Amino acid sequence: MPIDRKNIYKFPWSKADNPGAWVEVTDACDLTCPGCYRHRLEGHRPQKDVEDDILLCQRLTNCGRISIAGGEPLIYPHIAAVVNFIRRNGMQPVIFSNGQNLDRELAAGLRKAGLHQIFFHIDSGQDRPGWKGRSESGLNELRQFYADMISDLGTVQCGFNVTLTRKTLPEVPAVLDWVRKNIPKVQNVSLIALRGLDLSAGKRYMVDGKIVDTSRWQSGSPDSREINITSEEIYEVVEKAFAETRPAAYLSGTARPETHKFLIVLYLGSPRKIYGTVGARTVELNEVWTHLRKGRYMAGFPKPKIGKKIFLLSGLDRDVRKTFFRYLGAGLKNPARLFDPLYIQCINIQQPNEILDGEVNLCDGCLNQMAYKGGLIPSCQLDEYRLYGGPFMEAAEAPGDGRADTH
Amino acid sequence: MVDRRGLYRFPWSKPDNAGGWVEVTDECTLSCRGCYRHKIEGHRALDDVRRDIRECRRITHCDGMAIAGGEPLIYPHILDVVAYMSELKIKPTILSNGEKLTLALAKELKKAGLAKIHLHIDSVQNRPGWEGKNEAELNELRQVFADMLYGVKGIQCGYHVTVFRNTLPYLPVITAWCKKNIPKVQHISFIAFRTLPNTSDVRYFAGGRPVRLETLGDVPHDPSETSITAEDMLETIAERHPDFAPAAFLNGSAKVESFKYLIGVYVGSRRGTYGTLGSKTVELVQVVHHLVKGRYLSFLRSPVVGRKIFLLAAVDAHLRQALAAYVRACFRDPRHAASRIYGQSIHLHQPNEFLDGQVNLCDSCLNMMVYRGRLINSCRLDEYRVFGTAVVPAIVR
Repeated sequence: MPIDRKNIYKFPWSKADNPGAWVEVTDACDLTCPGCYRHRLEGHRPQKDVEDDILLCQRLTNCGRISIAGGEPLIYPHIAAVVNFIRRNGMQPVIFSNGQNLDRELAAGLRKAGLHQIFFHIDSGQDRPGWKGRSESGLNELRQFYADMISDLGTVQCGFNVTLTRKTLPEVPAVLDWVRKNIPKVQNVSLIALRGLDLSAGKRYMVDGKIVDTSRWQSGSPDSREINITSEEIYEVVEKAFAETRPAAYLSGTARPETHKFLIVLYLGSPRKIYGTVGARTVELNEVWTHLRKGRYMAGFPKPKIGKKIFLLSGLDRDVRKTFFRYLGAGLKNPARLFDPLYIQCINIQQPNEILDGEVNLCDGCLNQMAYKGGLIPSCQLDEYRLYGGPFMEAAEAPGDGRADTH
Repeated sequence: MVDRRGLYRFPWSKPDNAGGWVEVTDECTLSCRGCYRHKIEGHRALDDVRRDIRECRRITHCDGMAIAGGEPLIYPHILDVVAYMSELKIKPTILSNGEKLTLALAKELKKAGLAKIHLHIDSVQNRPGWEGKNEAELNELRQVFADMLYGVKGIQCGYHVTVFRNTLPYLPVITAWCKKNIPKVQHISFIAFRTLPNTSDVRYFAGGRPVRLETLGDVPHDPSETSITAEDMLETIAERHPDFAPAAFLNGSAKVESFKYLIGVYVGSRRGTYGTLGSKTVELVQVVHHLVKGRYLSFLRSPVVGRKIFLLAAVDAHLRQALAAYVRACFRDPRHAASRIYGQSIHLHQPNEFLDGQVNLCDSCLNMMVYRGRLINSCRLDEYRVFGTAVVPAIVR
């Protein structure tokens, strides 16, 4: 079914009033994932610089959560201190990690420091030691290992990031099937379409009016088909496999408002069954109520065990109503199901930063803005600033039209 | 220094916005200093305008739409455009210099469904009959139009004033005139003058090719003229009107800390203003409207907000102060209690600008328009019309 915007909620987030922000603590990493857009230039950053950036983000974006990313944040020596600094400043710390360096002792330390959530980037494109050659479904075993470990901590939420290529797109149902079965342990999965610079013949890019040398840029592809998977394509695969799927909310593109840069599906269910989704109205009420009460927006719901009170919104939200009827139907067949706890789980379909018809199409209202040299930039553009001094712009293809000088 | 913690950032975005924009002609009867619209096409075909209105509504989901130009009142199908928007349940607002506005035309526009007219009147227009008049003296002309539209009943009245260094000190006297006319004037936008710099240290590109800014016509550049900020205007107004406090804002796209729109709303009656709305009231109005109607509010159809607005004093500290002032006024002069309560919005607008090597647009701009099937910023239309795409500046290092 095509996505009908009339039935989904556009998050009210903006640069200046956003639930999230991003900080990077290191650009060192213990994996080398194809498609990674972060270059190794600086190593570990001084803790004071990281803390200054966190406070600047909080001031400029009004955020309630900070994503700690890199590089691999778990190899950063002050990671627990950074987590604690964010918590002490009244925000939720979220770590984005490949998990390689995580053991139970470190996980317990991070929980004690105040960690709210950890996202594991696990997919088959990583050439991860010990897991080489595994398909996406073959990696569910590794995902289970981390989901169990985090679940044992009690209060820390768990999410997964999966970068999708044309090759792995058909495997999305196998990953989601595992995710849905683990609804008490897994609160988020982000299905992220691979993006990078289109390096096909004749493509040139410029920064500040000068053609740039893209041989230094590691995230690109000479095959434009590999970097043009859309959110709609991913959604179609998900909906075909799980018919009850309905999107509830989205973020659009900056240059192309008709694109879906974030497309959010929120499942309601128990470990035995997913009953359906919540709709736009519930997400809207959650956002506006949180903002009216706390003065800032929220990314997600406060607790994954949402409880049956969510069905009170059936009167306002058609999707919740449908889910409620499926829940009642399941309860009639097997009354024990009515006693199962009810959870909410977020599937985030992402179509990241891209250049479309010569224009940079970023996520409008992006959650992942970061401080850089005293200003705010989209984190996906950080290395454009670090390597070239500013964001890319597509240059004219015909030789001689741009300037010959490069940097 | 404006403290953002006390302000509401409007929840608008490109695909879910309170406003949209359409241009019907690029011809005009005046040649105002600072105008960014070039005479290239003349009057547009009515079918094209209708198509753009439909597309703009589809993409932005807007509640109201500005009909602009050029001068829309010289467009031969202006009544059809207004009527078409009304049919689509879009609130039409005409942005005009007023030169062609007569009582008879105003009545026709009202019949077609016009909700509001914003009149651009300031002292740099060389307006026939008003040459050499300063901003204070132009209040006389503003009064003519305000009285005319008030007489028509049903069309709201607003004003645009482009602000230069020499006119900045006049903002308080214009504000005072607006406040005095709160039953007749629902809106005023003070718009800081902006233009792209054509200095030797900046080069411009369009579609990856270098372009000459002069192609856009004569582009004068005086940094002191293009650096008036929304905060500067607020400070100037607040010196004479300490009761004026902004409630909401839009930030810049490149400089998040900049205020592109800074909006305050007076509440008052014909006997005086009592204070302003606070951020909580603006937030509640926006979110409730969106929950009930599925779109954000551009403006209320009726400028009479009534005494019920004071119910929100329970959650809004600014409104509490306004309520206290109202009660005091009623005790002093009981006629206040019998007077209608109006709302009047004052917009401080810092438009599209070039700051530290980046184009700083209004993030979630109200004035997005459709051009060749795509949504663009209306302030950049001529970049698209002349160069085929938006112009990107680069600092020569």
